Amino acid sequence: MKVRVRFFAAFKEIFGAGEREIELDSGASVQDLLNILCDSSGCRQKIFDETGRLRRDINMLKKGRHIQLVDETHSELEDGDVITVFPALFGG
Amino acid sequence: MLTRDELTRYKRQIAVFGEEGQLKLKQARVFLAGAGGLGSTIATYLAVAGIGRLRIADNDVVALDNLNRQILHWDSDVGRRKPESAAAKLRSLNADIEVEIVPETIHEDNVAEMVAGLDMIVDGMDNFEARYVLNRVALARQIPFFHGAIHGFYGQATTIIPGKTVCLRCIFPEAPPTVAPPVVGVTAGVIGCIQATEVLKYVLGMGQLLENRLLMWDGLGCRLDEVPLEKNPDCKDCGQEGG
Repeated sequence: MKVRVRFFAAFKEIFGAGEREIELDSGASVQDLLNILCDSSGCRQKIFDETGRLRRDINMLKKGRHIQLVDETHSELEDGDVITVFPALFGG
Repeated sequence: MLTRDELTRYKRQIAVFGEEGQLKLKQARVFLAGAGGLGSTIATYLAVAGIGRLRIADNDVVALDNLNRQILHWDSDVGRRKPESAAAKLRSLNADIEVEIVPETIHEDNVAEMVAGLDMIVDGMDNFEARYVLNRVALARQIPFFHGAIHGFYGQATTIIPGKTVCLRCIFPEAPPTVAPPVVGVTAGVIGCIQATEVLKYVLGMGQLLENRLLMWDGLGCRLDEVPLEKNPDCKDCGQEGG
């Protein structure tokens, strides 16, 4: 199956593109997707905290809903899903 | 009723939305949280548009390193309280509007009093803890909350209508770490103008609001994208409201 990942703000620079299409095995989870996307230790440091959990200042939406509130990164993906990755900008 | 001077002052925008629209702006009562980068832009454009009553809350004093982006504060204002500095400029811009200031930090215990009697809340804050307080009071009072935030050349905005759209907590369940973010003044201008536009549209009942959409501004790529949003039934702040 294929999923589309959209990156915003600094994540465009971290992942080197505004958007990527990723081929995954059926039943793959958000965590599997992150493992494929973060193919360097530098990238992993920017995405995961010291416990290996998705950093809390990173927002990922699946079908418009925050993944933290759905089922963390164990959430299963479906063909055609669009995942959005963006930071919480907070300056004013 | 609009005065003769008001009819002249707003002539070019009355051509867009009529005298009836201008009267709606005159009757609007807006709470602006923060008189910083976003707040300066938002307040400026709401004041010149003729928003009748603007209450501005901020407890900071103007510092030299604010001046790259906080356009209501000038060199001579360094050391002055921000809401006082902002109100002085806004009254000079448009003496017909009412500008009230609240020189206090926004928190759970005082926010209800701060927004009492007002129709909407505009976000000019620089941290998520205060934004969550504003989000909750907007939900409790069922009034709109116009969110905006910036970092460097990047910015985001959305319009929250309680009972109809996602709330801020649906999008950002946890506060990011609060450190002083790098900010370029023009980004505050872009996002502040988008927020002010949303306020005007809401008051006028015109156009499509940024409902259930997070607008993402990339100043480096000069791109404006949007992320569709869905209300979350498990949201800490609005999950129980059934809206």
